[in-house]
Amino acid sequence: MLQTSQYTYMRLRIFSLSYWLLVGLWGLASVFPAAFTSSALAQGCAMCKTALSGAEDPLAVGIFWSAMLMMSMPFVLFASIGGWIFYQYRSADRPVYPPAAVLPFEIGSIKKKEDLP
Amino acid sequence: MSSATVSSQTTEVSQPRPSLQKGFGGSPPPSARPTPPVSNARLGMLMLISAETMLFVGLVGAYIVFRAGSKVWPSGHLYLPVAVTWLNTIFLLISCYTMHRAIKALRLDQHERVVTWLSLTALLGTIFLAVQGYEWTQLIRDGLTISTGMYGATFYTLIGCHGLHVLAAVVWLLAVLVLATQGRFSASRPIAVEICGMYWYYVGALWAVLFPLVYLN
Repeated sequence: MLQTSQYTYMRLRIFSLSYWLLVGLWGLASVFPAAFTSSALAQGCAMCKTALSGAEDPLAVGIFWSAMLMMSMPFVLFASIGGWIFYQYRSADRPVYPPAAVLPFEIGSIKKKEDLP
Repeated sequence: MSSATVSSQTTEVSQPRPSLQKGFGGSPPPSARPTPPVSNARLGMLMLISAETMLFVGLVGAYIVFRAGSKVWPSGHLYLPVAVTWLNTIFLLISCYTMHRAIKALRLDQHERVVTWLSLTALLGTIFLAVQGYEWTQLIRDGLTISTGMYGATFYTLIGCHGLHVLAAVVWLLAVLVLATQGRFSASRPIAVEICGMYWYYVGALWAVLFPLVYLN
């Protein structure tokens, strides 16, 4: 059974330099093959490539728009809800200013300061 | 024990300790905590709505793929009752307005109006469900079932899923209406009606997307 100090030690290890070096190496290893095989970059899924006749195929267009919709929606949701929450917190922090002072002279329907109760 | 000692002990007991005054763990007591700008109930409802949106986006994505992949859509001689559904759409959009009026009346503490507007909203939602049920019976009579083909499967899944959400919203609204008649909500306690309203607006907005996609496309 792990003690609290051991948990703390494990949590701290996540932010160590060796951890980030490992993550960086893994990322480089992923990108390295793609960098030297540029012809393989734009081919997409093998199954879609086999099933669809070309970019003009209506099914390909349908799959494109469907994938676009499903991929973009989490970002749209996150941005809109996060933006709304951010706006609510910013509005709550905004100071409430007192109402503007009444003009000392009369313009149209604006009353003079002296006439106000 | 002298009387002076007893009186000092009594005084000590009657005054809460400073740590208790601050609340457990040193934080201020619940009454002194500032109200967050976005309440937990609203946040929870937003999460539910996000999850529902992802569900419907998946269904709409499948609909788009099948729609694009089919040469004839809808299949055969089938025609959807667009005119009746237009009317139904108007009913649902009006119900969003009546819900808005109910929330507005609640913020002004007008209890009778809250009950009236909520009742109207529930009635319009029920009419929407009834008309959609009638429309489905006509479609089934015409031969369109969920196992007819890809069109029937996607149509009933997408529209049926929305119908189930409207049904859930109507049941929820009826529960809120019963509580409103008992005077359980006020301008200072509006959150239950407000989150029900959020869900109702969501269901209405969802229909505003699904109707052109399925019926007018």
